[in-house]
Amino acid sequence: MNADAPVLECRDVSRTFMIGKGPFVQKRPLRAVQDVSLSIERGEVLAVVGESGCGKTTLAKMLLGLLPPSGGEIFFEGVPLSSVDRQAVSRRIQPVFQDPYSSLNPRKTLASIIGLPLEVHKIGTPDERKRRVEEIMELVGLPRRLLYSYPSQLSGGQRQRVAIARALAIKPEILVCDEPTSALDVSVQAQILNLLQELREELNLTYVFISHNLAVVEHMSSRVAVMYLGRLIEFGTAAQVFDDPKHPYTSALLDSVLTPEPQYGLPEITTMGREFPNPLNPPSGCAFHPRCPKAMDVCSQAQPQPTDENGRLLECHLYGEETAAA
Amino acid sequence: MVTDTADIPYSEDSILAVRGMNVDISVPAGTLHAVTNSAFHVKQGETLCIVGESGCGKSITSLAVMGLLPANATVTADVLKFEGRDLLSMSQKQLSELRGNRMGMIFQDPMTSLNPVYTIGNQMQEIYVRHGKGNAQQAKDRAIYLLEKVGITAAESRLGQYPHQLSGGLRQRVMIAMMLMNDPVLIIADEPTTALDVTIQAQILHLLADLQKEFNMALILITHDLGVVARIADRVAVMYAGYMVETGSSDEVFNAPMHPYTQGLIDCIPIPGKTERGAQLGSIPGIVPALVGDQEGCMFRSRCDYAMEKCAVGDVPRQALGEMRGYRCVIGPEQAEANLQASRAKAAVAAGE
Repeated sequence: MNADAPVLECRDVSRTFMIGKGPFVQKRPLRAVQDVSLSIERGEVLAVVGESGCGKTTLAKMLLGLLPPSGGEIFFEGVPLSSVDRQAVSRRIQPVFQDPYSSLNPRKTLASIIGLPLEVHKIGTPDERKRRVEEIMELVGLPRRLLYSYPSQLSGGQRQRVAIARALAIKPEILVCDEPTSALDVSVQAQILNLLQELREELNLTYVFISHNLAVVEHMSSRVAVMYLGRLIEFGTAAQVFDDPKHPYTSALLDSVLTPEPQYGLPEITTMGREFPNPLNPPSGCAFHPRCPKAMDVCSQAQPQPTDENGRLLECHLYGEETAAA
Repeated sequence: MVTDTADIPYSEDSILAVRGMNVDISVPAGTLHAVTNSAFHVKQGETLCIVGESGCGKSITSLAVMGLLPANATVTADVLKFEGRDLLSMSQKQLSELRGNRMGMIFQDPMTSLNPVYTIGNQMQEIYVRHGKGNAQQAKDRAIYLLEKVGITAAESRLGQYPHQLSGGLRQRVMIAMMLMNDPVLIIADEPTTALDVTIQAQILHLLADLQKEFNMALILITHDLGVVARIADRVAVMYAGYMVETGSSDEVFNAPMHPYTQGLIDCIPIPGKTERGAQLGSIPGIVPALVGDQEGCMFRSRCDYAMEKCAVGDVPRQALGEMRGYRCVIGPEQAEANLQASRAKAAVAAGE
């Protein structure tokens, strides 16, 4: 494997689902992810943001190797993911899911939930596995007395710690966290975010952090990918995207963030009043144009081409032309 | 039992006035004290936000007001008055006359609160006709008028649609229009935007705030989202483990929080442009205590940085700072203010490093 290559890289990755209502209705394509190209460097936190239905979870599943792309290719350290053995991938890339109430088996004790990946990958003897489970529980801040407890006996925050412990048991390098804190209360969310930060520094982990909460994303990430209707519309460092958002959609998302600052009042809304489009019947041209406050004639006619400026990727006619003119 | 909230004054023109309200629920393990000694009121044109984490009793508070609690729950109160009428002495029939009529409700998930097998129009007209406001034609006209009012295009054709044919944002707009059918004086909205995307959330909140102003209604908004509260509330009540631990104007509660829980909660939220990226967030250690059984002392003491011996005994005093400004803690206002300044200074040093 190539050590200089990014840990994970997507090249023109697409995923299309065929959706049909019954045996006599022709199936229609739903383009969940379209032509997404991005790279994830070792040790960074790459955040993927967007509204429900923008394709962020589909992208996460493809990065985990749980879903093959229908177009393009994902590279893991320079090697196509499709050519690597499934178990070898899962040893190094592990998921943390949103809802710790449904992602843990209610009939298993913590010891067996956290130890299962070790068993599956046949790591160590039973004694060593037990020691590893205790070690990892301490690392994520779960008291040892919970070893033989069931998930139903735990609070939401503790359950999410179990999910993180399970993911870390086999010492992976990459964690794909899909909305890891959105089912949690704010005080617990802060605990889990702090834990994720500490673990990343201690274990030198790489995170793919999927969230719709922009305040959390800004806090956690080093680079940010903004998705809209399956397309990557803006991609750059956290400082670039948050301090100087270029795409009108990114600006609109940032404006919608409600921080606990009473002096600001509710944000003004303009054409974002239009509903999120139906992904089965996406708008022509740039998919964002019906909701875009800066839409021009060309936006409804042609798909904007991605532009790359010092590693910052943008897909918008406003900027495509600027580069063309320059 | 503390009864001091009974003495907090409220003006007679309050749409809803609550003093010393307790909600106890009998569960197999004993009695669950879901709400203890709650006190709040709301006037015409005013927005009160009740904020707190899961299990703090905020939804139970709203259900108690509407008389929608299950049979194993007992509500007691010194005062529980809606438009000057005592809610506790009303029969279920009288209460159901109020609900959907003078009292409008919006719940979190519009998909489960709309009936999937009836059309939008059918459901909107029913609530109007059932409360004897007019005939079907008048109901239809009003439904169209209100659907347009909440920003739904092609309102007349929407009447024939079923809830599943609408998106989440549209369904919540329909719920709001439906709630307005009978000109309510009070709206109780329980997490109305939690199931929605951020961009849609901002729109729905705007819509609620605009309509509230236009129809001069009182709004009680129940949410866990401090961001929503800060932007929309006139007054705020912070709940923890069944107690209203801090009350005040939105400005007072967010800019000068007095209760250690409120202070901690605000520190937990990263604020773009203020919180340093990647820095440790403030957090409240531990978990919410069980609410079953007898209680003594402050419910927050096991998680509180400032807990003292006296926190564990007796009733926690309510520190009154103004007519509606107060918090429930043994720490006096001067010390609470000093604690806030100290923790802010500490955070500023940490961010500067």
